[in-house]
Amino acid sequence: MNKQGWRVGAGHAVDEARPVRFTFDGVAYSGLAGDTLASALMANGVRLMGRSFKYHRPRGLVGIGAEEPNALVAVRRPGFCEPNTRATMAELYDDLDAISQNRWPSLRFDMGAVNDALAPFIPAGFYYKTFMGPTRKAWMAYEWMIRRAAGLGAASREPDPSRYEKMHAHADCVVVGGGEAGLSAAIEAATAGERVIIIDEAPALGGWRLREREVNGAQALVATLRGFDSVTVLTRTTAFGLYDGLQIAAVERAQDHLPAFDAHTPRQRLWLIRGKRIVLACGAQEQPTQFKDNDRPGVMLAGAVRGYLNQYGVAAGRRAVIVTNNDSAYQTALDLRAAGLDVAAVVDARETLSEGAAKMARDADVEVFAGAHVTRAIYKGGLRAAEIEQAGRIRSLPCDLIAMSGGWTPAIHLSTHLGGKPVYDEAGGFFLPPKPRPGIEYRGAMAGEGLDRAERPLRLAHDRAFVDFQGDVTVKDVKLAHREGYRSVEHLKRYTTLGMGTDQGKTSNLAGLTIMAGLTGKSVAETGVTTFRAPYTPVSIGALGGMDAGERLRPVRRTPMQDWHEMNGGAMGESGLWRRPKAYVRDGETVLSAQIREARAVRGGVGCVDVSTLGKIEAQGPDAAEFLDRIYASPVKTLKVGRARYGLMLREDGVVLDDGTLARLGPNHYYLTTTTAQAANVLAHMEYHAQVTWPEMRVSLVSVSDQYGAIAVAGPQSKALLSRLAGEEAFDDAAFPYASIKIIPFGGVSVRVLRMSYSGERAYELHVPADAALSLWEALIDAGATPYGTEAMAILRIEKGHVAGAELDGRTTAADLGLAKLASKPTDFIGKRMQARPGLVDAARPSLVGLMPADGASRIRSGAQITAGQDARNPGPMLGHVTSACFSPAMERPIALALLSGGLQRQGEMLFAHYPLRDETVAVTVVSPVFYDAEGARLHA
Amino acid sequence: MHDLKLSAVSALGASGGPRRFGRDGEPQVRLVERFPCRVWEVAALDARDSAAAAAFSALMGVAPPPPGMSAQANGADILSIGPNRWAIVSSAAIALEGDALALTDLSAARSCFVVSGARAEQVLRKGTSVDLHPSALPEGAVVATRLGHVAVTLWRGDRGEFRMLVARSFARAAWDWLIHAAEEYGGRIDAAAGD
Repeated sequence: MNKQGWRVGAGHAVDEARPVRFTFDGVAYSGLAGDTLASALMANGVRLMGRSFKYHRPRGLVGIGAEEPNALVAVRRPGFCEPNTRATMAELYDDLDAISQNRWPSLRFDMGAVNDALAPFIPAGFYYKTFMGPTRKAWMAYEWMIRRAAGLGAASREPDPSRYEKMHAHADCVVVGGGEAGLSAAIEAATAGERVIIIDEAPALGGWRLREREVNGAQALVATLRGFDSVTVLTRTTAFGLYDGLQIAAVERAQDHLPAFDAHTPRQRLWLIRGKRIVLACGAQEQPTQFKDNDRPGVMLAGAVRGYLNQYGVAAGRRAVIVTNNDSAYQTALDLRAAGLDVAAVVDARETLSEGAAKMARDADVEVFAGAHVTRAIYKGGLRAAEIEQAGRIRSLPCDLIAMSGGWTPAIHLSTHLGGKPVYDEAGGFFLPPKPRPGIEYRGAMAGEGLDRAERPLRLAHDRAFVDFQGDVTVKDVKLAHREGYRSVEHLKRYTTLGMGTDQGKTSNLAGLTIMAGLTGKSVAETGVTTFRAPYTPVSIGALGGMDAGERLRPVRRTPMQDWHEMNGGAMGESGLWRRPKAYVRDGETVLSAQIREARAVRGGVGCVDVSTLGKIEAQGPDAAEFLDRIYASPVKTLKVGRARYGLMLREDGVVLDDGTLARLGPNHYYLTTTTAQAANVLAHMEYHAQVTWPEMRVSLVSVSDQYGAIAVAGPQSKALLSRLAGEEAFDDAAFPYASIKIIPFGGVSVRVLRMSYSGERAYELHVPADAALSLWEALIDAGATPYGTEAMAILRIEKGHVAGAELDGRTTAADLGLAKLASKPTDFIGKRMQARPGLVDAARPSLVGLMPADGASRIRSGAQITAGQDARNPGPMLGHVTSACFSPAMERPIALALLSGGLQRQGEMLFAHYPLRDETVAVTVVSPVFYDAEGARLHA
Repeated sequence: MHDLKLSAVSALGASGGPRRFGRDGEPQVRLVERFPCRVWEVAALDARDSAAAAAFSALMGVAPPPPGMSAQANGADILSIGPNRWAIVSSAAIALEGDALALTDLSAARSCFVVSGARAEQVLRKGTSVDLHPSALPEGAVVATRLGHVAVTLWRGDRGEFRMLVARSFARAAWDWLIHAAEEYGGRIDAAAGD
């Protein structure tokens, strides 16, 4: 384990009594509690932390916070892995295991670095220009290779087992930024009695004030703020987006600083915060300067150098050259000197120093080169010297650190998310946020307050000066973009990738557009700045997903009997949000053999099926009959109390919307059922017409889908079975004929019993209050009913030619389905007129038929296309398609329903059903869609 | 045949049974299912009906609560759930009759949960964007919102606790969601209660 040779003092943020062990690329190191990965590596003298995106150049730390473009590492493994973690934002914990990215085979020796030597041949736009042809498809092949060579980090392919959550919050005042300005704003708001939320991305409030030598002032503000109960403090939380309605989106890294995650607590939490007003006090970002090889490890931002020293007690170098165009960097000279470190010189671009700069230079006792520039970093296995130029004279200043300050610019990202153009401040040399929307205000450095004036533009730097470290964009690339006409900042960005990295150009945009301004001769203000978009810093997909993963992605709707189905062999299938048993599979059975057994049990005895998923609607009111008569194509007003009938309804355009049962419980009281799939649509359709079309009608519609569990009891023995449970007199055919509804008590519970049939057998649908549904279901099975699933239900209805979702596909009319008589009542109803459109009465329209295999044995598949030609490769015109198919136990052969042009006029014809996915062609005979019991005798059996 | 006796079971099945869950220590969230819980929906036959409030008063013996609020009468919570539309929630049996208003028994269609404890608000805030602070959602206030993907009718009871109605078929999903959201704080499920 290396000792921390670069730890030269006591930092405010670290605890010297608490060492923390960690590894980087497999090498063990020791840091201190309170360190970031970046400060701990620096304390150990590690300068090389990554390889660049395109040229694979060695890179070290540039910054100290969210802006860091270079020191991106991967932490945690395998599913927990978070690539592109900025080492400056990763808090150190015991056994943290970080690995560098974008290098092979190792960080020190990286094969990709050959790109750096080839740099003159891979300018901006290289890939697009070189890999254009020969066809558009070719790019797809190139892209795969290029993406492997370029790019940053790699996402794990393992599922992430971490827990993520979302939290909504509301406040009178939301403050983004916990620096001095933000703290003051939050204290003001809290003092005024407001509910306040203050957000900061660091582990502690205080902002840049925590990076000073003296932190008492900031700590006093924090203590004052903590005294208010009405203040919520969110640290380790990055506000990454500002949205309409004064809404802030933020991500809290709740556990990323801990060695292991508590399973009950989210690793990260997405905060959606709505404020009555928002204070943006996001501070400012220091900018680099541009000179040849300014991307070498050891070239850092001057403020960051000072921060590492004061906050973590870590020296970024023993002997520094400071390069600046403003006063702020002189504080770095003072702090370095106070720590006993050497400052070779301050190289100031300004011809004349400000008074403040001159005083600080005297206090720090450092040599100043005014009107001077660094022209080159001299790097040989480490930073050796800064080459500087003053008044035409070149000299070399030996150093192991270049601390640069190209001035400060407000961190305006969030302020532009709602639109609005940043405003260039000529005097300060930086962009201010746009004019704030109502409810938003800017405080502190965000508003330009207290920022040192920077002299800009710097003269045009060397071609191989880096503008965007993360995107590997150089001054030469900006010049190329200019030459090729990509002069708008938005074109410059897309052509060169300037500002497109995970750092969103926090340290590069200003320099890039300043250089472009210099090339075009326009002012910086005219040149403008690219649009910043959310997120401010990268956000993990897990945090965005929150709790909406696994079983919580889509809630499951459960019928009252679902537990029973699952415990009794139910092979569950999805049906929207429901889970329904396809069949109850016994030992030795397959789903197919089980469904055939179940269907036979119904035709031969009695079965029961859970149809609780049906939509159920109660319509009440003096106008209910008239209202429903207009909604349904089936006649409603002629329906007597106690009777029920098939209810068909059309859309406004004349196409079938849904079918179900229509039952009259009282003069002003109807009980309606819909299909499972259309339950919500049908209620919305009815509500729309009740509220909009005929608001004068006195009718109330309430969904009772969840109120009643529904069980269809079907088969010739159904009456006998139910009579045993609820008494013979209740089921007397004279008092309870087919197509009736009756309320019958079962064991003290009132059950709505509909005598309707889907299977074609004598059948009863029991609608029982859901709490008692399971109990009734079990009683039916105890009494001898065979439970059957949705597959057997489908077999029974196909045998009867009853239509379901595959036929009610939103394209079929009542006539197509052989139901024309049901939609022909004299009174007006929705869809009536539109049924008569020429396209809907065309004789060639496909209509419902039955199919049987000509050989009596071949399987016909749903979805197969029907033609007159046998050759699947040259089949002739499509005549229709198979909608539903099964093996019919009653007919002892495969059967199918189809929508066929010409319909039953083709009865007896032999056609061919092609299923190209399986390369199958079956010869089929057109028959009536009612395969079984055409006269309907079994309804009364 | 005459020995048939049907029993009523909650939508939660076994998952509603009393237990501790989540983080160790003093539970900061308490979940209770009110079961059995009677729920009726009372609605004007025409939502524009200006006489609906009078008809409601005649039926229930109390004036209906204003929009967005609930009231208590005869041990029942009366919730305003829409224009001239109310829900009556009670542990005791309710039998409503009359034809001036549409009366619908939804007792088996709704599950009723009570969420209380020091962290109850935080638990719900993980799923709803409604401001639940007492200054924004005072005692008696009712909102229609969602917990995650599940629609709920949520109101604040007289002891600061949150009460909610959930469609029965979604009850298990909502209950599991509540447990998951409360694990961070440590929680306790208490036995189903009439009140």
